[in-house]
Amino acid sequence: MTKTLPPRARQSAYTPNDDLSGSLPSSIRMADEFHREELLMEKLGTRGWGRLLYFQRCYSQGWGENGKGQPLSPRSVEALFRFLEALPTSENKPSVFLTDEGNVELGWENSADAAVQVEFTPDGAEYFIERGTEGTVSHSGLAGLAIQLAR
Amino acid sequence: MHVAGEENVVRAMWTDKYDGERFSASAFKGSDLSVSRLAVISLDDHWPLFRDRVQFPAGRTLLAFAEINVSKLAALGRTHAPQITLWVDAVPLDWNPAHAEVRGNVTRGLANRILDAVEVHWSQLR
Repeated sequence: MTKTLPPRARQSAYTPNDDLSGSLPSSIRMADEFHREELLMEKLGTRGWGRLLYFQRCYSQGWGENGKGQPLSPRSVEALFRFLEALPTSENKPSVFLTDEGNVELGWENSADAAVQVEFTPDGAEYFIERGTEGTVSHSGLAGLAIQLAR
Repeated sequence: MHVAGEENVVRAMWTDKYDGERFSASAFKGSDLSVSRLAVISLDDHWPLFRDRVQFPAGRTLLAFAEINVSKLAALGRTHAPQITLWVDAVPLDWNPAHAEVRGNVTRGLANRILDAVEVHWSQLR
């Protein structure tokens, strides 16, 4: 003789913490971070990668001569990654700087030996090409700017 | 008080503005840029003053002072397109009586011209 048990409400094997629900699983976030580290190494080289890490970890609010330096802006870093994704890899690695406003700045020379500079701001980027132009682009224009400046 | 055109001023250059290969033009970009007057404190005395006071955070190192004449700085602004009026005001601080600020909003293009015009004095401890 068989007996049928009454149906039970099905429960998930685990329930994510409140601070994790809605965000990506940790394995995906780790893969994303690994991809970003690889991108930095490929496009900026070890020196640029190390400098960015140093600015992120050591420059807190109030750094600098008069205590007015701002910590590295996460939105500036986001803009940097968007730009680097589209920037062709080159042997001529850009220099990486931190501005007093907390923005990342890249500087290098293009194939015509003209200085090229890009400062990543919370709103996008400000760029400069020696003997040429300077201007600004929004976040949506960063990939196009990377291709334009790589020429 | 305006700083006289005959005076020379220096801008401290730190690890965040030099990576061993290139200087950052952002060191000269913006408004109310901090500089220091050589007429008040000699270049030799600037080194210990800045090292003792502002090597923060750890690893941030004073690498050089970039020197420029005040009249030359104003002329660079005047001849830039579009023209930018620059002058230097003395703004003494407790720790640095030679402290001054460059008035006028220096654009990135002008900052690059200033960077090309400065005389760089490197730190012996670099």
